[in-house]
Amino acid sequence: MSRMLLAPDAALEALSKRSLEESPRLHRLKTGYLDIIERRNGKGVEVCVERALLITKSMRAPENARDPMVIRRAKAINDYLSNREIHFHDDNLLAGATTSKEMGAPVYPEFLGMSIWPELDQISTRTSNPQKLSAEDAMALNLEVFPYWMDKTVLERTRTRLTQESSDTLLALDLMERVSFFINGGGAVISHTVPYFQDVLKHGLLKMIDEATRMEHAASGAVSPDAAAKAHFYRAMQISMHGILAYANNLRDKADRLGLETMRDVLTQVPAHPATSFHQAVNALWLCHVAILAENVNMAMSPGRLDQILYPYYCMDAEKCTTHESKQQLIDRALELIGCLWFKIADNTNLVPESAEKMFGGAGSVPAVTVGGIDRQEEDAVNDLTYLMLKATQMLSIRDPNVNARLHLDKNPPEYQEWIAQTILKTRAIPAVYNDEVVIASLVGQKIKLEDARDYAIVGCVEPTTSGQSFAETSAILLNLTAAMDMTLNEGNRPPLELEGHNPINPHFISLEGIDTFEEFLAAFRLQLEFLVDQSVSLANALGESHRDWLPSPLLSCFFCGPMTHGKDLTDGGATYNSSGATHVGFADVCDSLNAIEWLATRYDEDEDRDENPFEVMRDAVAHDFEGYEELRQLILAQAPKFGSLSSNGHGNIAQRNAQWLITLLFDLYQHKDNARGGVYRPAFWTMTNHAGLGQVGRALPSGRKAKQVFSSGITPVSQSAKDLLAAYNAVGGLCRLDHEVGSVKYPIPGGIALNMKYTPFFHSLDNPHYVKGFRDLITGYFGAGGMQVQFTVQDYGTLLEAKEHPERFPDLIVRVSGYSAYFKDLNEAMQNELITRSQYDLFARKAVLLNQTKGESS
Amino acid sequence: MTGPTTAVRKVRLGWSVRRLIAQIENELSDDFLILLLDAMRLALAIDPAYHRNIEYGGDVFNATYVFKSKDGGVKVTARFEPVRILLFKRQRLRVRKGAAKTFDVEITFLNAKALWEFLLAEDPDVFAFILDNKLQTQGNLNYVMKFGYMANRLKHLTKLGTATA
Repeated sequence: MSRMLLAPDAALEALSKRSLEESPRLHRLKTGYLDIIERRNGKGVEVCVERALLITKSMRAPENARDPMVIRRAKAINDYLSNREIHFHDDNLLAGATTSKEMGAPVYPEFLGMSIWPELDQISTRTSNPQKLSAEDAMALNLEVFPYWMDKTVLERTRTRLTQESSDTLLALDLMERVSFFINGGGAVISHTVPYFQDVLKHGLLKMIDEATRMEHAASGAVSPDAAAKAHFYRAMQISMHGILAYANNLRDKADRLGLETMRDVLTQVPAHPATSFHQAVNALWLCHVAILAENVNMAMSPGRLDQILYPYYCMDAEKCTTHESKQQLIDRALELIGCLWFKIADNTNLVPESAEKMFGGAGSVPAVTVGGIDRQEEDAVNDLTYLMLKATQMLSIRDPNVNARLHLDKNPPEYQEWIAQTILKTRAIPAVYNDEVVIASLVGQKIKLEDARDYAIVGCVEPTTSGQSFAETSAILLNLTAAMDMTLNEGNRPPLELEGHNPINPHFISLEGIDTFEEFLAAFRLQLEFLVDQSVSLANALGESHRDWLPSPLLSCFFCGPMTHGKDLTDGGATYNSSGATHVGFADVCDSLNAIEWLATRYDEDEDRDENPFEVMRDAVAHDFEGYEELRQLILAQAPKFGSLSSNGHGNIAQRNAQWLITLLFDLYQHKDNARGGVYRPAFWTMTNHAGLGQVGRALPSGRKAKQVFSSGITPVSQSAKDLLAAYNAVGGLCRLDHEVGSVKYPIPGGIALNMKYTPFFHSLDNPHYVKGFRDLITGYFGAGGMQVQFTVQDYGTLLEAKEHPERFPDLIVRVSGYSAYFKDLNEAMQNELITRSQYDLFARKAVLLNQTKGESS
Repeated sequence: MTGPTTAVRKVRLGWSVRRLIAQIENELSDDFLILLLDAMRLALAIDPAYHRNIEYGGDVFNATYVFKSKDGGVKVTARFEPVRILLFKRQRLRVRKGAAKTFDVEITFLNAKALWEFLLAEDPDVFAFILDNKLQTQGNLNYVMKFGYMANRLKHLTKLGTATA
């Protein structure tokens, strides 16, 4: 693909110089947005109970009680969409909103919405991320909504079933509820996927409803055992889509009453009929996205490759432009519409109880937008909209959407690479960058067709998936790798945790007394890791079955490839591709722990005077949080190999070998596990803020990390340990693409990674071509070494320290957590500390600037 | 004859105070918890707005909670159940010592001290207690959430002397 209206370099240059002030509407919307996030002028995030009330009312209705669950669910979604209040809070060009509030946190009682129950009276005034809730709405939740759902959440449905079956998976549930072993996302959400919007834009909903009606009639006349279930499913699809139409019609009527003629005309056409302009396409897509959030939680529901999906409609408009002036007007209008869409996507946030702030504080709803890269035919896919979307991202510099840039080193033009660098430097954090070559190869390794793999988009934080075809449920498992290390050192237990009836937690363990070699220690560690993987998978599958049986997603199924053909809901395996994601916390900490153990074992081996068992020495040191073992700790910190560092002290590639061993082990373990929809699990390494939360309650580790310190983020080397920037990049790159032997390449991280890099900002970075070039070169060098993804926070220690001390001075300072972007002020203290202590690299010297050398600096 | 030094006296005093606190924590915890639950029972009985938490519209709240400590110091059962008064059924809270064998949710504290910390905290954080291994639950977590709300409302009630629910 090539540039169209932006083909002349002068046009691109002019676009690069556009400022927010030149778009009065976007400027106004930004001011209103900042009022909300900074809680100015009486504004702030509000809890929206509208969805919870209407869905509950529908589910309580006796006349719906006998319907199959898929139809009951569709009716509930339809009732909500049809009866929503219609609001136009500002002069955004797009109609529709996720909630009834300017920025709302919707309540999903069927998932984890009830976790705010104890806080209903305090949520408006709590110190951490308050969300306004009126007394009347709080009482409605307390008396009308929550009581209905007490035994009907997906988690409690699962618990009931497992208890009735006396299932072994009850142990997994117990472990999950201890939080620090693993967390199964299925208890809270499925979402985490990229829908398929092309059909509704091309054909309109009415045609899609016709198709579902035809399929229902065909299924009704069939004699197969699943004919009735299929007919019900097709019926549910129709009911769901009628809900979207009702909502759009209500919006249109209100727009008409208010004299908003353009909006009325847009809504007269879409989403019922095919889109015939860029404006219509954007609004149709947005309305369908809103509808999807009516059914499933607003967490990482990702719109996908918007520069590709919307481009045909931009071209329709462009073809009508004959003069320079009309072309310029279209560029301006498209930029404005994209900005409006960005604000719409950011119109909601998660409902997070204060008690969960430790783990998830500061998270938005993480809708990922993907731009650039190549198309299905392996051609350059960068187009006008790619640049316009990057420009909107620069101009608005807001947390959501989570913008991701795909980069194909051979196919994408150099100016695109420069735009990516400039956007990151302007926003100091956005977008994250993905290596097309490695991501596509990783997906092909998962039996995805090459053309489909080329059309990948990012889900939520960093997870690549084929657009609209893979139901990837990328948050199925978040496993704490340090739990396996704890259990290895403690004979299958994890003091001080105790599980009634399970002592040890894992009855299969190798006692350290009997271990003589590091290889034997690895075998002991593997036993514990395998146990935790088994447990987490068994519960993820149980939750998957509950989703299928109790919380099907007929509306989301309308916007996917597969369900219409197969007559099966997404949760029942209806998508073209099915998989589940398993991500991991504490990767680098565990690698460095393995390194330290191997290093110590080697030292003891070489020293004939020592007859102690080094593994037991390490266990004792860790058990005492290195009290009385400080000398050993200092030796570990100074001499043991570190993941992400150059080899030293004659230990060769110990660190990289151990990292590769762990990556390969996890890949092999998960790839042999089937999920509830017949797909496999894909390992990943992103952590959101969990590495900070879990670190706060974690015991010491053999790596020399003391208790209650944050873990490393994503796949990033431990903070302050990797001093050479290129070595860090090469270490991570060498894990994403494993070259075992000549001709044998393996891509063992198909679920995605988050590599968090922090660069020292340079005064007037954007005006310094050497800085921009250096920035670009490092990305391309890392990608050449096999790197899959990288994201940046361009801030120094001093600024972040000051922002922690004086949050009021930095209300909209954006940082990269481990996946998504967040406002620094919204993060909990542990996460702020992790960002502050995260290694900061000098881009010119390509070396880490150590924290203790720079305390108090400020730029 | 010489008496103990000041330092020894201080150590002994400190030891005695700690022992006293431990005794109070261990021996009074049952009663203290029952006292709090009794306050909830009373509020449910006399305050119609608060009573709505267990009887509203067509919903009645039937549930059994067991509170225990791992060291055995605490064993209390709280049961929300219907009671017939003349011709009328009405929900009430019944509290008794001992742990019921069947329950909707069992809340186990590490020890009586953890229970004290939890009950006396201005804003008890269930999640933090779970992470610190001071509290574990068995059964439906939503019942814990509901109880948390009712306990918070009770605190509010006792502070303000009035209630909305």
